[in-house]
Amino acid sequence: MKIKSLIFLKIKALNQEKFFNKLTDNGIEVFNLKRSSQTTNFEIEAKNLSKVKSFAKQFGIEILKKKSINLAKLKELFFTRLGIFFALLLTIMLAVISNFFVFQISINGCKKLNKTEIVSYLESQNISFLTKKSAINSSKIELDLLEKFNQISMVSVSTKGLSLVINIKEKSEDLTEKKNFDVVSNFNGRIISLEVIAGESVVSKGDIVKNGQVLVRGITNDNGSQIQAKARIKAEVWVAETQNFAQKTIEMVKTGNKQTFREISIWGLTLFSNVNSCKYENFDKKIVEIKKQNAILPLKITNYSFEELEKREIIFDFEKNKEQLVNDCQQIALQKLEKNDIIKEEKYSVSTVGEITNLTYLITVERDILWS
Amino acid sequence: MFNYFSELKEKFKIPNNYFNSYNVVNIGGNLVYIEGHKGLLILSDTLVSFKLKNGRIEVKGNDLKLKDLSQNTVVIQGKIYKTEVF
Repeated sequence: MKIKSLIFLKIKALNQEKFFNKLTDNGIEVFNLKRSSQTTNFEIEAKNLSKVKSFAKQFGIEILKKKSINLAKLKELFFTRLGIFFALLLTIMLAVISNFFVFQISINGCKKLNKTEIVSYLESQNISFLTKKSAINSSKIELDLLEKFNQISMVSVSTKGLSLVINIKEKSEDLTEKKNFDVVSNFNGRIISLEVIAGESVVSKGDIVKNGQVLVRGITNDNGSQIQAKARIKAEVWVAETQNFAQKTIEMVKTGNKQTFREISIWGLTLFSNVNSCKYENFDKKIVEIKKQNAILPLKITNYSFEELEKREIIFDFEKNKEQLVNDCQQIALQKLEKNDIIKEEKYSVSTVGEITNLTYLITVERDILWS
Repeated sequence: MFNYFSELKEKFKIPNNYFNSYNVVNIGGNLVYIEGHKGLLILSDTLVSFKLKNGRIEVKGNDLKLKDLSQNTVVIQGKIYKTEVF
């Protein structure tokens, strides 16, 4: 659809028909032509305005009103009101300029690193306010930052709108690395409250901690001496006992078949022997030596007995013995509790992996700990 | 402007002699399309008349206005009562 830029005209004259015939003869299209008494309203395309004016003059027609509509009105507005025109021009220019330059550097994810330090480093690499976007090599900045700052484990650099966005993920502290002056967890559980008496806390209330994890770090003084960490901690400690049960076990059982051999020797010299190789595939071998001390001759009698064994598959019905097994597991778990532990909750879980059934009995206790 | 009769001729391969020097279409008594006029004769809100090759055409009605006027086509809008050719 063609959008026409129209001009509304109101004229006053007697011989209007001739005027309109003249317009159409000259290829000027007229729209919405309405006559009322001596005045007529109509619209023409903006491009024909000068022609229409000259014809009107020729026919002695008075133009009472002229009004731009649609695009013509817009065009007239821009070109007659210079303020709006220049404001629009300025806005477009600013938008174009802003598309090419960085106006802000936004750094996210810094907890220990200092943002100013990163900004200073970027400035040293000629990346600052009003740097051209095309001059920014994101991959290079990422690599440079990783190389320069050891604390950074991951970094991404991108330009979004007017900003250069740097997302940083810092390396997490190795919580298992224990130093002599640290308070280290000897339990698995959750911290309920933590009151640090000396040192710097690494965990906070609500954190889940593992056995061996550093909870409070000792402090190193300026002169290099260490201060022992000390804290009063109330924690929800999880005491667990896990036992595994195989659904099928293979057991060697005696069948009752037996093979015996005897060997009689004197001073290492064999006098009699019926020892032969055992005919059973699986057997239990027993050797009994009898020395006839009281005899004149030092006879040594050796009896060999081979008892036949056979493999038997024993099916263990966990469900049938469950109650007893759970009780046994509970007893072992209870033995692990410390004095003054307050039992909050007890539960067990059963899981099966392949043919192994795992039974875990978990006791949740509340424990007050003072570490120094 | 869209020329209805030229389109019609082209589409249905209608011979030229089927069409007179002028053509008129009345659309629901609210719009009259005329092609082949030779100029405006009378323009008022109750009567609009155009010169034809061999005569004239008059459209009578109420609140009439020329929706679109070009060299040989015109669209008249309003309450159309009568279209006469003389």
